[in-house]
Amino acid sequence: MELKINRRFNEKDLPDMKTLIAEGQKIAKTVNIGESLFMKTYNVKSEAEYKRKMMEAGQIMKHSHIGWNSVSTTADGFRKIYDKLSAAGSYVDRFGVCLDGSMGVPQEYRDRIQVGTGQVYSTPDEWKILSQQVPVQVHMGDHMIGSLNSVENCVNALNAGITTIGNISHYYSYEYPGLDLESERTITTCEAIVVMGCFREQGTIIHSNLDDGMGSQFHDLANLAGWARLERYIVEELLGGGMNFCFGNLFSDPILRIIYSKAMWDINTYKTPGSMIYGNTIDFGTNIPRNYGALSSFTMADIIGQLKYPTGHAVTAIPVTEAIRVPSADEIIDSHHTVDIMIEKARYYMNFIDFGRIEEEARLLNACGNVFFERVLNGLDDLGVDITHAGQIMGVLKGIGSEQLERHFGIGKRDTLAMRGRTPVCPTNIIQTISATQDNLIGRINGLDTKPLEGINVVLGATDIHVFGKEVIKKILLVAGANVYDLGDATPVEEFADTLIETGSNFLVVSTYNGMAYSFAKAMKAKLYELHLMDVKFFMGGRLNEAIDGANLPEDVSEQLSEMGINVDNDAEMIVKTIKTYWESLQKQRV
Amino acid sequence: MQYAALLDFGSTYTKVACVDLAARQVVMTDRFPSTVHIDARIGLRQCLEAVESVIGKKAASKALRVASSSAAGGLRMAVVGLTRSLSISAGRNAAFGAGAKIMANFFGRLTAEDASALEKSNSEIVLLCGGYEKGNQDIVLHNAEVLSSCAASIPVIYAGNSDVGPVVREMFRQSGKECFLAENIIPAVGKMNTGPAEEIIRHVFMKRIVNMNGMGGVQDELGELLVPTPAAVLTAGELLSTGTERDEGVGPMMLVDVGGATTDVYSFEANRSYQYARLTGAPEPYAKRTVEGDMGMRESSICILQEVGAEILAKEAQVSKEALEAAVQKRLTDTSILADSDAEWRMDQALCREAISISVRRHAGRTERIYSKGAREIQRGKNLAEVETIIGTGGILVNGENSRELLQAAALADGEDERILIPRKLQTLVDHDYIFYAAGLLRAHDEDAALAIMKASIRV
Repeated sequence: MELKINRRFNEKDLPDMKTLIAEGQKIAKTVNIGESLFMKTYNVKSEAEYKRKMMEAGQIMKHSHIGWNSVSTTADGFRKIYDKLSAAGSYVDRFGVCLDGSMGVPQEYRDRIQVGTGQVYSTPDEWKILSQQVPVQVHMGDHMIGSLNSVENCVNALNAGITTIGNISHYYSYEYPGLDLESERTITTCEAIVVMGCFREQGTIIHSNLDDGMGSQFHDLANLAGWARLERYIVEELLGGGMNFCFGNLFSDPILRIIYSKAMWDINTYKTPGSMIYGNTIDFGTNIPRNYGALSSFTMADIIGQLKYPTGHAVTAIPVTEAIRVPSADEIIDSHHTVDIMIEKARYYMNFIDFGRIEEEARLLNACGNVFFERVLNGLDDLGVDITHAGQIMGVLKGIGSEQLERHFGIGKRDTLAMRGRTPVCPTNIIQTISATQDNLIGRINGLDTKPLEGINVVLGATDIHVFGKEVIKKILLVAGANVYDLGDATPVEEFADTLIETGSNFLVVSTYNGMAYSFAKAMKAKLYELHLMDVKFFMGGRLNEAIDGANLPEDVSEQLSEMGINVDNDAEMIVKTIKTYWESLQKQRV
Repeated sequence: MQYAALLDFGSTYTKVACVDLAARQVVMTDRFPSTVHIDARIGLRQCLEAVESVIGKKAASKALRVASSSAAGGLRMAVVGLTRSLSISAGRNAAFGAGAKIMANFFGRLTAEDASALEKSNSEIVLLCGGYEKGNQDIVLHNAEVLSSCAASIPVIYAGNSDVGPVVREMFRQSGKECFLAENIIPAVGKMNTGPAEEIIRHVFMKRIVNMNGMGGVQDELGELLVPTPAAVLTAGELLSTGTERDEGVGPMMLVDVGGATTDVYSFEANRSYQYARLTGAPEPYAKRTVEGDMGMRESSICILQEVGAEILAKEAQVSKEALEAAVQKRLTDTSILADSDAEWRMDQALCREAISISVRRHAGRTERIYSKGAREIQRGKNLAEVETIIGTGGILVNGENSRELLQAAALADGEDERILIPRKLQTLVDHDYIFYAAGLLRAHDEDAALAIMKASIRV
């Protein structure tokens, strides 16, 4: 097995599990879970206790995510939303509050992180302000457990009466630029989980958003189900925490949301209630009426799911302006009114939905996920990782990364043309979209079966981290028989140029998205000139724009690129033909 | 077999180390002025007699005997590839990894001037590479043609695009030149495969060296093939870093050997991204060696003077500029002189410190920003920022009294550009028994003993 592990530290140097657990338990002794106004009002010891009561009663809980940065604006907003909703006969159960990224690192490193748009608390008392404003429970996800400051933030939150705390998935996917303290991060994350575990009976919930971490990087939801099992194994079996998953950002198919919720509940050994199912944000754009439709479609599904299979997750009311700006209090209130009517009508659907099929799909996901889980653990064991040591597993899994995990341990059938070398059992919605685009295009291009590009070398890459456009083109080129040399994401100009030489290729295909099309094109053309590669046919596709000369908004630059001799058709259907024609003209010249 | 007699035929000394395998201990070491210029077998005899005098004739006759050689300044190579960042980078790693010294490298389409520069470079082997699999043929064939029509009859190892391997070999055969085929050193994007090419390089080295004075006789007598000394040191360092199943290694580390003509730098660490920079260029090996042919205490002292500047170097040595320039001249004319005064000693120290500083910085990778918009850090070369151990070996560093302070020159200086990926803080150690070559020779036979003798030799 050829696995490349990007080890950031030697996992064998971590303290042993006994030490980690003892340290966590010692810290837990200093914690007194505070009583939030919510807990006081509903006479519960934790949010989990409340959630269990609601599940029993068949009540739908609602969640809103709050993205304002100052404590006072947030407190004012809390009161406004709560008061207005109550006056209108509506409600909200929980507010998700986001810490600033700088809070995710210990004090001594904080000056190295640029302060962003989240909450900054300088004393433990400031942590307590928000949970005493209104009887709505505060949830804290990002920059908590999984960050470089896991223990301190977790302790402060518990003392403030916040009992549902995230976000394990961030450990695997979020980085603090300029700070590479992976060993410390692993230790503090493990210890914070142990602290939470010490109060598990009282109802602490560790939250992990699958769509925010490695999960969002998976192509196959079956593997993601297995990944969830891995996270659960680490948090619950090895460190004693009680956890549940959040998901939803990337689940566009409403029925799939119900299936996934059911699947995740079925592997929830200790039936720990969930935090919230997040809104499907990939369907949100600038068209407000469409966004209303998106909000209605996913909340309807989530409500139906909760009525049939209560998991304790709240339904998230996403304001329709979310993709355009940080929503105001009024916009948040509006979104609750939309969800309220969905709650009212959802019951009518219940008797007419084929839940048998939903359960069957959930079983399939878990059966496949289980194989993935077993394969990964066996693989780690073979690599000499102690699979009873939470930190060792976490560090190595992160070092392996989602792509290799899917490639080596994934459940789908092997297929050399598929991304990551396997056909997904249940592709994520993004992968479904790409596959549909690929299949659609491949179906529309004539004569691909004759392998028109056989023997032709093409160099391919992306200028930034967005690679889906590149993947679409890659599949077409491969099906057409080309030898594709894929340089991956954020490829430098020199690497494109040198690869053109090493491959003797006459074709360069670059996908771009981040608004640097013009700068990149200029640098690339200069390099091609310098290396006498002017007869290389250069394609650029994707979002061909850039803010020129200090302008605020990016403008379309395809005309400038075209003048530089770059092919900017942005037409995937044409690429095979264009390459073939150019290749033939080159052959003629050579003769 | 209880003992191993491990020998090294250098151009200054013939060295021997005798190891008790069961006890995993060095029993004795010794060295004799080199006889490779007259008859290497004399040196062999001296070493073996020294071993016999300690462990007895009977035990000595049963001992494992293996040898390395760096005589005649080691193996001189030229690398010809297509691009600096991919095939040349991998080709240099292969040549250095096999124990060679690189006299010249050329990339792109070889010109007539390149060919004549190559002929003048005094290279003994050419590594011709370039092209991914199914990749470039055009420039590769052109380069093969230019090389095959060169006047110099230098053996060529071809380790490029395998599609044209047989054609390339035939081109050389028809011009009456030796050409060996190795697997492609850069088979695909992000892959490196230098092992097979390195093995062929070592084989060619061995064949060449047996023709030297008495070396063939040494090889016959030992019944074992000679290994280039730097290749033995590289494999030893890798073992010390990674350890054996029974005994742990020391982890990521570096090794520096400052000689009269060259400075060798070795690093042992898996290359990884420095603070999320995107890696670019050919992959970097775990065990990496580079040789700076212009960094040394004697023959190359003039190059150090030129690179650092006479005034700075003089100030560092606390001597006048004139005295320093005269001292360097003296070192060029008589490469065997020893420092015989305080001032001479300080000048040697300054030369050594600069040789380490410059060589380590050339060995290490660095990060830089690309594109004016949407800038992102990229990383070329190997990240050694997290290496915390450096070991000095060879000549001045083993025998000098100030080695640990000199080795600190490998670490990032206060206020220095952090984009140079050299160690941030360093623990410095010295290979007191000069044992790495011996451990490298022993590794194939008894890796636990090899590791143990290195651990015993490296001390503060």
